[in-house]
Amino acid sequence: MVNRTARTGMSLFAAVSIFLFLMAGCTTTVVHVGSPYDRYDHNRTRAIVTSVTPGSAERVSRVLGDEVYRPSGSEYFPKAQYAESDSSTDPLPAANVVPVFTGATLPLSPAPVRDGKSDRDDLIDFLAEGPNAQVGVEPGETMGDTKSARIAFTPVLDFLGSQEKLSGGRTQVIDRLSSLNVTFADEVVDSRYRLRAFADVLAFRFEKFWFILYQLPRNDLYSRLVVVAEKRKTQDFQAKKPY
Amino acid sequence: MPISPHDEIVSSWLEVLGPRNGEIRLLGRVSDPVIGNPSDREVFFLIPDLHILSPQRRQRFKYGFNHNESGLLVRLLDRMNTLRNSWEESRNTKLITAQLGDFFDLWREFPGSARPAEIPDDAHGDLRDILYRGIDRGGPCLKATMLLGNHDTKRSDPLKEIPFRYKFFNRASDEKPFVFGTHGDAFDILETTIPDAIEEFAVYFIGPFIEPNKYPITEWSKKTAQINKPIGELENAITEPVHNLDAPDGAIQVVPGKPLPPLVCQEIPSPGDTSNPYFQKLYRSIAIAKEKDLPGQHVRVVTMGHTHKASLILCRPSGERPMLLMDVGAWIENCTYPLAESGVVVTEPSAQLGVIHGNDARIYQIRLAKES
Repeated sequence: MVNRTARTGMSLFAAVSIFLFLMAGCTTTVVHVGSPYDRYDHNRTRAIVTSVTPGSAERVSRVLGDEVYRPSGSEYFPKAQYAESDSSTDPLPAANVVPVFTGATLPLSPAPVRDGKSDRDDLIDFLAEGPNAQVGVEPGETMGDTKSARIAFTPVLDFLGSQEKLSGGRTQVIDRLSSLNVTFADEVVDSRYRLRAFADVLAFRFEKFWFILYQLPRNDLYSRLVVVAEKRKTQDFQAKKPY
Repeated sequence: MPISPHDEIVSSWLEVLGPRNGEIRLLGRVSDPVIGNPSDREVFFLIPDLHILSPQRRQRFKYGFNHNESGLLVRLLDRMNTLRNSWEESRNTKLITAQLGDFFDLWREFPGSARPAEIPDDAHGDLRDILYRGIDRGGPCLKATMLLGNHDTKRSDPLKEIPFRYKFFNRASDEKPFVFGTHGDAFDILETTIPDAIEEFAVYFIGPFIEPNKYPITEWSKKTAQINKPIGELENAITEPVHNLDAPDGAIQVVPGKPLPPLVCQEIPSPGDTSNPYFQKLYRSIAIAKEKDLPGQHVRVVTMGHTHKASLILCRPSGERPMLLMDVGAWIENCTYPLAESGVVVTEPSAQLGVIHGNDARIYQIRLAKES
């Protein structure tokens, strides 16, 4: 009787263990490419050139500010209205014409930009401001510890700056990244595009950020980058110190 | 003689305060090259702990955000935004605003698990707009750097609309910043060691009766002893509802153009010569940054909140690195200090603001006459 009870207990324990193991194995890591403020998808100090009005030959160069992406739009880009009046009860336009950045250019360039930072330095600046700063469009008026960020992220930054390491396809790139102590995501949800537009999308986490690489069809290397923060659920007292 | 940004700020605040019989008092000033700011283009505007709550939760606690009814702080910030815009247009001066943490007090807002999404949009909506939200709504906005304080998250849930930073430095192209901003909780042994549950107990069991700030470890035993008292007696156990500010010569009334003494602060010869429990830890942390060759090694001014007690402490050790600790105080609880001209000691709601321009750092107390 005792043996039978013990066997039943053991079986129950084994079943629960297997269930928990399977549940853990089924956990899917999904990375969300969120709002323009939460994603780093371009060098924020680099001016872009657009037409003053659609179809106009007159061009204007500007560095974007946070106001560009607000619901009411800004003075810098056109607003779209419905062709016929709609039932809206607020003053918002039907849509705002705003830039959707296709991603920071890879390989990541250390070359200085006129009146701004290099692509590499601007990314470091973004990382240094921390995971909750929402500075994907416009850098903050204060700054984080850029030197610490540069040191901490050097392995990834060097990887992103190497055409050779970004080439050769998913399997080879994963192999190379695996030596950097990164974690790979199972799935990417991108608010900008259908991901089938790309030949491959590969996301990996390093420190407090996810780095998402995009490869176009018939292109040998991953050529675009988006960075989003991992929202951790703990107070980070160390990050509040000057070292 | 051109008017200085400090005077411009004081003038603009007095436009708000004048009709209310209000005034500005100087709690601290260091006007000296020891600050080490190589630029006079930026003005750093520092807003300490506010601890705002939704109106219904505010009623539960004895202490809350000061001058809420008059909207005093919002009015002052609106004026700062006007200044910011005029300075941007002239391209001579840039206003950089930082709120030093403990902005929306989620610890006191939610008795159980935090549900920040349930906070009404208009709960201190005007403050949220002018500090960081207005940019998204087409309104005035200071685009403040918002530091994450210990009360800004409950079980690690923050109000997600706030773009929190853990710390900040001034933007220095050579990675040699002169100012460092932190909430201060990382240097508080209680904050970093006690479990959430104990802190929660302190806030919710005795919360209505005590100020919501934290205490040095030496005082923790006294506080825990008080918890064992009958609940009805807890109100009598308050030890520091009023912060006694260090102003031996009294606080001078600030008027634009009127000369002020260059040093109104506690000067100490070495980092250990102060009873302030944070100074030595911060000084040591700058030394660690030097050991690691990080930008923090260049910092001369550390600005923080957390304690709710405004103070300006300058350390100039012979042959060693100087440091100025600028604890900007709070807009919660009360403070007491003497007036310079009469020596009369006043007790009034804490309402402090900090400003740094060039090598001139100041802490002001904003006062409304009816509360003096």
